[in-house]
Amino acid sequence: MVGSNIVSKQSSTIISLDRFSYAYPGSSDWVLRDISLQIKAGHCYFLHGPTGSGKTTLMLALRGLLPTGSRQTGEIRRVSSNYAGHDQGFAGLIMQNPRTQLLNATLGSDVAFGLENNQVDPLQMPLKVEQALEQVGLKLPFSQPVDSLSMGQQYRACMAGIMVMDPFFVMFDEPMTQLDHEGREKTLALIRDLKKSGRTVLVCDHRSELLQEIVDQSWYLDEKGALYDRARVSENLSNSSGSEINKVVESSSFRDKQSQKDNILHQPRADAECIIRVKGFRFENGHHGQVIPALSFDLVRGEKIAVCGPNGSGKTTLLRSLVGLVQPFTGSIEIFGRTPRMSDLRGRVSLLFQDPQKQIFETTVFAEVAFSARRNGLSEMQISEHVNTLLERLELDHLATASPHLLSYGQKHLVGLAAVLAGKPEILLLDDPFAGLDRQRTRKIMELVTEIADANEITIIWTSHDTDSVANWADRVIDLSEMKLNHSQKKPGPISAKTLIATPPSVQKRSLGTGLMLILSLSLSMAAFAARSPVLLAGLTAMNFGLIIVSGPKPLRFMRKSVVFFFWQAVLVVLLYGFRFGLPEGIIPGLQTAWQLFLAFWPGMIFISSNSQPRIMRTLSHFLPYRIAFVVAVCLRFLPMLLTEIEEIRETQILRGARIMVVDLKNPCFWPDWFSCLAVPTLIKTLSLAGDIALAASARDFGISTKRTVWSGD
Amino acid sequence: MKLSLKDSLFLGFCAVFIVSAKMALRLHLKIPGHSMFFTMFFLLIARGCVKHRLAASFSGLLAGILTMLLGLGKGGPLLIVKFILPGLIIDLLAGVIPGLFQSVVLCMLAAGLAAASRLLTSLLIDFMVGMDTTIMLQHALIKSAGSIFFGMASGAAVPAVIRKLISHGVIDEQGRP
Repeated sequence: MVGSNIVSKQSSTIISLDRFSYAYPGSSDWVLRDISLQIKAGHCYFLHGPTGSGKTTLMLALRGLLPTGSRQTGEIRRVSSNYAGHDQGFAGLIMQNPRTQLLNATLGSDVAFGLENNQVDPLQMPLKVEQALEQVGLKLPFSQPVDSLSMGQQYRACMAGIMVMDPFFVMFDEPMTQLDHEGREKTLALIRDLKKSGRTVLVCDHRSELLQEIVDQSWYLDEKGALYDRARVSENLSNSSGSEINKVVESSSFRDKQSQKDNILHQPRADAECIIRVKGFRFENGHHGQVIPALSFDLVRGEKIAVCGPNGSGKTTLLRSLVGLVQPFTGSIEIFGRTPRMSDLRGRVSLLFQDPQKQIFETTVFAEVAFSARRNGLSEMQISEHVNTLLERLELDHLATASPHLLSYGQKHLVGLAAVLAGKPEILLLDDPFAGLDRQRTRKIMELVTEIADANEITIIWTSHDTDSVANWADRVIDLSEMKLNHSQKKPGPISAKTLIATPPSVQKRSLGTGLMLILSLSLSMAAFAARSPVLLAGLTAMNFGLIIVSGPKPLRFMRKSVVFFFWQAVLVVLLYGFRFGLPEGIIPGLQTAWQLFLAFWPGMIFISSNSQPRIMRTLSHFLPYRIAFVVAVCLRFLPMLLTEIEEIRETQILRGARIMVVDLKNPCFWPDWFSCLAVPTLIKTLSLAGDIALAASARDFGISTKRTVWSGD
Repeated sequence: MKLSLKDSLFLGFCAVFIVSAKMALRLHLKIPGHSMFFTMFFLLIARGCVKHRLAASFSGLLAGILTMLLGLGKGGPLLIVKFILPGLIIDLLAGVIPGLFQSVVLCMLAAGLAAASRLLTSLLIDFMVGMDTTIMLQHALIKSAGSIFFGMASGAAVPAVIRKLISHGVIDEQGRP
């Protein structure tokens, strides 16, 4: 816990790597090569390097989370005597994406996850959770749904989930990438506090300038996985920061440029064709439910526009509205002079999301890039010429026959970009596509995109939460952060955790416990199979009615649902009895059988409608092994996220030319598209998500013991 | 062989796909048995991607629990049996037929057999309520004919998807994600 006494000696080594090399299972290439380093107590370290150089792998090695079955040489040494006195953890790792690290639905239960795995007494948990939340500046109710938090708050919730385990050594994997300005400031404050409290901190990020005041030592990991020591950060800055200085110059010039551009926001070029027209457009923004002020702009052919704003400001919603996937709250949108519809825009508009894995499905880079060109009706000769030119310009020509899934993160982005450009779209929508890339690579890609767009008169709308990264090349900038309204009013205000512990919100007031209801429901269900007389069936029906009255939250609504179910089942059974025994004779036995069948299922329906998912889950966890209970709970938790991901994959693929709209089902020639363009990327994404969640759970000590205690704070 | 947490979660997500397909389609299509298309597809994918002898059964178990928790089916706790049985059949067939996931015909047969387990479940329930034998068979056939048809159709797509996943390197030849 933060604020606990640090017993280690300052400057004593807590972990060291000696000529450590590592290769992932099944890979012939070393990710890390001959790395030697020493991490000392109370120091703050900064690790940077190009995208895909192995920074995350190094952090996983330090945390002891590398996959088994891999090749490794050298040695990792942990000096336990130098961090003694910490309740649970030696090292805590906070990874890049907060959404895959929030494993429980409510804030309190999620933060307590690590405590449960370490079998902390449930009575001690609320206080520890409260302290951890206070430490990260997140004073919200334990029962606060984590999905209702902003991206910055979610990241801090992840930090609390690690801090509650009282780690001595805290690692942050690219904390600044996903966060807006406010989120970054708060994260930096926490890192400062951690260092002040004597903990060791390692931050891996692309933005060294934000951390220069705190960092004691900086390392650079090159593309081959070799680590270089870069003396003190201050020296580093003075020696190498041509790039940093350039950035400062760029930022200031950007501000001038932006202020000029803001003035011409509604003034398209008179001689060019207007292809996007947005008038008085408002949309309801996400779970906060706020509506942004009206947005109006026209976009002419070949124009490039940047849409900037903090996390949750509605950038993605705006893009989705432009292709007709979200209806405006008020106002209108016209693309090519018509209200946007996906089926009309297929092939003319392309959309590229942040994660390139969402669209990649072919087995070679060439085939992947050629897909949309082929679907847009280009001849094989034109395809070959066009695709080869694109690959050459993006420096991917030597990878034409390689599997796109085996490329590095940065190369996958390039393939994704080439794939959407190959269809020769008239409009290119880029949804924060290079958030995880280093600045050098992003700049290079932006130059290429601009060049290709200028040559082909492609209109571009590019969203980003990082204004600096996109605004330099854009003709105009729309800043959604200045358009937000009443956001603070919608956010839940700070509430004392103690108050909430005293008055936990109840899901429903029920007279029967979930366990007792489960037993009763099962008994009634089994009894229905044995009941062969109308009297017994009537008795069982009465008992079920009693159960509904005692436990059912909305008896009338439930009864209506039950009657509909009984009716359809009875029709089928009575009809079958009618055919078998003749209609007048078959009706009574048919109805009795249908009644009996219905009574076998009805208690199950009552049980489900009377209990919330978490309650059922908690009850089942008494009967199921904890691992299965965890998997079920996590799958339920991530179901909405996964469905959103699938929807995004579908949207991207449709715009690339995939025939996966419901109307396309009429043509069997396009049926394979559902598997290759939708099922394959979905499964790949699922495998990746499963890996991320497993890693997040392991980072919080899931599975270190065969037993867990259970959080009951909310 | 113990399932890794990542494998367990992948199987859990296969279960989630089964359930969400059931949830999404039951309102739109009124064809009996159509949800078996996705059930069989994802149970076969589960076993094809994770070479654990009970991978499909585990996925089926989770799908049953999830369906029950989400209130989608009408059988309460009995739903779990409805999902585990096809999973067990797929696991059994994958254990005895080595090249199951490379062959379209074998996958279709396996899916058809697994989907036919709905016939068994239906027969069992009808038998327990004491239904007339002829009606019991008709009832079970009506309920399961569509399931077998859709199950077999989904089986045809599985080898191509598995091949793509292997060629992408996201699962290896041994089926480890």
